[in-house]
Amino acid sequence: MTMLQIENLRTEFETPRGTVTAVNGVDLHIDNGEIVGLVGESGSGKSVLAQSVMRLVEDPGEITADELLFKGEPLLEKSEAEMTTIRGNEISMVFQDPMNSLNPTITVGEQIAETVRLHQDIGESISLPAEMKRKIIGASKASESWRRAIEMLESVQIPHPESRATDYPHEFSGGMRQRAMIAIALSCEPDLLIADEPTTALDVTIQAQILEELHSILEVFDTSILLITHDLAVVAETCDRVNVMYAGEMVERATTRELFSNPQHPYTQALLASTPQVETAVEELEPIPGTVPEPIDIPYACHFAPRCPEAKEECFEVDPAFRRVGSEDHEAACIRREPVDGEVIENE
Amino acid sequence: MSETDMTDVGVEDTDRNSSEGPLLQADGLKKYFDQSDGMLDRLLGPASKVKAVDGVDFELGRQETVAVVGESGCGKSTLGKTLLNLHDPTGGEVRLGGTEIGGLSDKEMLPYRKEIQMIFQDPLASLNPRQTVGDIIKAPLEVHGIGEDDADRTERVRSLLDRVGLSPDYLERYPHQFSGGQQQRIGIARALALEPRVLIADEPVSALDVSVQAQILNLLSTFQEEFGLSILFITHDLSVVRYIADRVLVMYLGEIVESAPVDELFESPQHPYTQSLLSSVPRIDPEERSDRITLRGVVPSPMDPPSGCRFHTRCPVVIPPEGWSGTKEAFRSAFRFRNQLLSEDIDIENIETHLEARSGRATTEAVAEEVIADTYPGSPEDLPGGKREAIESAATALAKGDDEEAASIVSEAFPSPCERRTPTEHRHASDHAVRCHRLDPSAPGQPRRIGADDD
Repeated sequence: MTMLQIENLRTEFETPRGTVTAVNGVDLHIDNGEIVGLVGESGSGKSVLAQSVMRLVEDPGEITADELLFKGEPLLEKSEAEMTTIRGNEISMVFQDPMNSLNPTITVGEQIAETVRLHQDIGESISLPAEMKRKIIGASKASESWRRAIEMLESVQIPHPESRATDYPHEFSGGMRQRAMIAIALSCEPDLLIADEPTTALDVTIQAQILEELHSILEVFDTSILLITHDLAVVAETCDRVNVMYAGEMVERATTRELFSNPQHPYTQALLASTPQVETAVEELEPIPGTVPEPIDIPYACHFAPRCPEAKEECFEVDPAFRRVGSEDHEAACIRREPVDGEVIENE
Repeated sequence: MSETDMTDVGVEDTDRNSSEGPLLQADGLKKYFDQSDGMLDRLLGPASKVKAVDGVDFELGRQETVAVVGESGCGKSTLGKTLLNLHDPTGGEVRLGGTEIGGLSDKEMLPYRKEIQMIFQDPLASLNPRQTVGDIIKAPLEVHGIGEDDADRTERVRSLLDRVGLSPDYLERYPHQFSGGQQQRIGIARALALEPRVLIADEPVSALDVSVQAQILNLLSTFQEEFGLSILFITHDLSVVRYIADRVLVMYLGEIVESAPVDELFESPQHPYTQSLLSSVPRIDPEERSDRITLRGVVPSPMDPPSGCRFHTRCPVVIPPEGWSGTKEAFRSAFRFRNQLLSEDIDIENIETHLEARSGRATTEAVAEEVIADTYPGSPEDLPGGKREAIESAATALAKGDDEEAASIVSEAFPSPCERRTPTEHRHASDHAVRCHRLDPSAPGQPRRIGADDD
């Protein structure tokens, strides 16, 4: 079954300087029980895409799409009240900086317990006085929500969850905070977890643990995951399929194995050539010349053409459509690549 | 720019042309931070000190790039700042071209500042937002009196901008008008304005996208060749290290645990900490993934670092004591239990509450059993006779609330040379130094080469 089906999604912001198209006609799909990677550099629009799925794009952002289906339901037609139920209950998000997403004045256990009370029907009062009392005096250790909070901390491998639950976020290490965030995100048993750069601020040793955690989430909670990152190696180790984004557009997509063994889009190739690797001593890295275009000033046709070593005149004139460039579902949006089946995919 | 430019404000003691000995050298360098908050703290007992850098020896050769790697909190940034004399060293020496510069006052340091410059992780935070790029880069020239007049200095700034790949027309712009990569170029231009001999680069590319990161790394390499620059590169990113460094120092809790030429370190790491760090780096090519060595526990506090080898609390391959009759695995499980107990990581109250909730009452025996079931990795059954009982009596003592008794039982039953003796530097190869008892033939226990045995 398809968990998330996105077709031709556009997110635009009206600004005094003109319209900024942060996401420009993007397709993406995530199947049940999959970890899908979304790779791109800063300014590629990958975070805005995630916010668009959650309908959390800030004013004056406008989202349009031919299709934005979550478990077959059109998200763009939901009321704000329905979206609130979906966020947290069915789609959860984890961000790069856990310290900014946790409340520093409330214990970690209570923050998870609160999420449980709000999103799961466990019969505990969530009236304002009841919540205030918990925040000030402390939550009852005998309550069902507290018990579940401890279970969640245990499931994300926090040692001694009972005593750790009474700690405040600053008493946690960076890796433990990110685990706590994952625990909060999972406490509502979502069907889809969107993880936006979840390991970028962490040491490699901790990163390795968190990535393992994502895998066990998939198995234990049966949650599909969209992993957003700029780190190709993280995607290579974690994801089933990869989507590469550049300046608001999807440029290539394939299974992880296929993408990294046979990258086709010039941007993906350039990105790989500029990434230092730990196993091989390279003589010289090849940087991508130039910079990511200003969002207000995106090239007309292929967005990568001004930086592309293979660009021809045509690249600046024709919008590149996706074409099959390798085995199975390997597709790239580049007119310089011959489609393997002679067909160009419409709808871009 | 020519050689005469470089010496127009001469520092007599540091002879630029001398090619003997290392350019920058640290000997037993220490930097402790005082944690006591005020008079009262100082009167009440010994001051607690964070030992951020604790006895570091290192050498930076001419035109060499040395990388310092380690997890956050290992002291690598403090090391950089102490070398630059931005922190007063607590002990040890720093020599630049043979001259002692550690602990010099700001005024005394001034002539040497010209020789050592620094660039930082967050370029925007290190550039004055109210100054134009021209003024920012010109400032060090003015301080050190380089250039004939303002027009000459402006000309120098223009040429510097050009060299770092920015248009000289950007002179009048402000830092926020640039992208992150361009801001880092400005930082580099400012650092290189004085034509230093040493550049200390603290995570200079960590905040940049990979495509831009490669531009900056290549820029640094180019300058290194042109100016004969020596670079101390501080980073947590091992892939970048592989690309840029000639030699690598691996830091753990304020100490250097391993140092080697870059290829040697990546291909044949000897210290268990280096091995686990390297194994944690994600790889693009599935063929190159090896078994990950997961480190247990957290980095101990630098205020009270572990005795002996500081890594022993997390080390996956600690050495059993002489005469140990069981297997190494069994010892390592017991040793982990011991460390958890010693670090007061076992929460008896919780276990009691747990048991009471489950079965109504928590007897001493039941709590002791639960302590073992909960904390002991594997099973104490694997231990040789006598040692099993030690675990049980330690758990019982703990259940009775006698923490000291429990601690002394496990310390006595499961000693390791790793926590008793500080490892000395062992030369694995002429330029490959490791501080690990396992590689030291003179160390007690069962020293063996890592990698070849049963671990």
